[in-house]
Amino acid sequence: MRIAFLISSATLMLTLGSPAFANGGGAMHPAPPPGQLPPREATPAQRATALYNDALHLTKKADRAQETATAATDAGKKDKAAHEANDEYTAAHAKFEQATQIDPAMPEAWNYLGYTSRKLGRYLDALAAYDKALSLKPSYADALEYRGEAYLAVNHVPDAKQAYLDLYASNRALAEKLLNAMKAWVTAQRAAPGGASAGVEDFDHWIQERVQISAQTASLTRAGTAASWR
Amino acid sequence: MSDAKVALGRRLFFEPRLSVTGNYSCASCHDPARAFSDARRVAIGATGQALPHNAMALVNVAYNVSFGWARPQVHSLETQMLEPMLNEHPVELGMKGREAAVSGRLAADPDYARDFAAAFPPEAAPVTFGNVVKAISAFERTLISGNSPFDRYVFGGEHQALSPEAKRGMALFFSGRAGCAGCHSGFNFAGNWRDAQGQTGRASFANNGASSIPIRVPTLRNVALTAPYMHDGRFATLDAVLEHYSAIGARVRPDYDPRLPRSPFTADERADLLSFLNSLTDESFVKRFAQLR
Repeated sequence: MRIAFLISSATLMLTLGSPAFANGGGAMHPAPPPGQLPPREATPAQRATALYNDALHLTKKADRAQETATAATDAGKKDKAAHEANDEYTAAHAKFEQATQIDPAMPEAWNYLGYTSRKLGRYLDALAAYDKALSLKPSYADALEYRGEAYLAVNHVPDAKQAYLDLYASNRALAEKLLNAMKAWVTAQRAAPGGASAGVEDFDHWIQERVQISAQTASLTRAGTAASWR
Repeated sequence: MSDAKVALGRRLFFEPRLSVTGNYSCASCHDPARAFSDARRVAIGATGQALPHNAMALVNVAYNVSFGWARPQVHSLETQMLEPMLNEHPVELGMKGREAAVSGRLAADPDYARDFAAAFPPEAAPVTFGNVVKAISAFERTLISGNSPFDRYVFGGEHQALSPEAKRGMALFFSGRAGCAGCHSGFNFAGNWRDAQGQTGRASFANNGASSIPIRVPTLRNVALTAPYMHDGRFATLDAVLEHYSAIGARVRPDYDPRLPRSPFTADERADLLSFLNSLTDESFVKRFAQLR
């Protein structure tokens, strides 16, 4: 059962989407505070940075609204928060898009253009934006994780697995986040009408084995090694 | 590091003219087919003198924090290499006092003259003892192994790459009860490692239950190829090593290092651990260097 490719309703998106929020992998750049665009003589990079910072601020607001919507039990409150999240993601998306047009060499802006695209259900746009971010910065762990979630959204399980393995070798915390998104994806597939296919159950076995491997091999990481050598 | 320097170092690694007898080289104790170790209990120098320690395998040494079995203060391959080259008690390669003569002989060889010039381009007279050491170190830094069945299982996501026995052994290896990963931690199963940021910290030395002083934690990568085992080569097989640690687990004392095993291993557990240790063999690493001479 495929998840609907394009989801225009923010409420539906929040129902199906895993509760995954911004990783914080694109910190605020040193630039004027939100709402204060630099003067016209600012360089393209400075203007792009100001837009990026504005958009990041909106994205964090949208994330908070989405968290509220996810947690709300009252249908009215859930719907209101979901719409607020949708509005903020839309506004942020427009600014990230502008930032990438002004400074196409800014991987953080491409990454968050992907993030807001994904939050708005535009998964193919999201994948293209993450590809661009990673072409500029191949080791960009946040973009790898986000792209993994986008692959899940369009049911590209082999690509999502590869994203996990790339992260497992470089950033265990984000690998864990993607693994949780994978578990949520399997749960959603099972809950869908018709239930999960054999492929979904195979994927679940793969996930369970990764959980086991990850738990066993903490000592392979620098933090794990440091712990045993205290 | 440059391709020319690595190629020169590779040739020098097998060069018998470096030894006092003219028939010994680095490879005499560091055989590529044995993951750059040898099959002897302890290493034997060019003149036949026995060294106090087993020849250490050269695997992923670019990431080592320190070198050698018992001296944490040796922090670079270049420093370590002076030991086998210049040691007199016992003699290893026996270059002490012959550094200039050996360099002169290499400089007179047109192939070496060309290769040293390519490896050290700004130098007018590049065939020096110091550059011999630098080139061999550069080659040793290319001895990278990371394609074992374990790697394919854990990092490659090939969940069929390990047998059920090896998976059980892996679970035991990384458990607190067996304690193996308490010392053999990190990607190289050798404790702390040097990373790209240079955050090296301290080298990992531990009491292995077979020495009166702390001993370097050796890598377990390709360990099935590096018999005999321990710093003094006292055990001929990996099973004997597991029996040694199992025996430690059977007689736990309060003053034991808490990372040592807390109970003995059953025969099945030893077989599982052995299967896991065998899964650390990287055939592509062996094949890559087996033809070198």
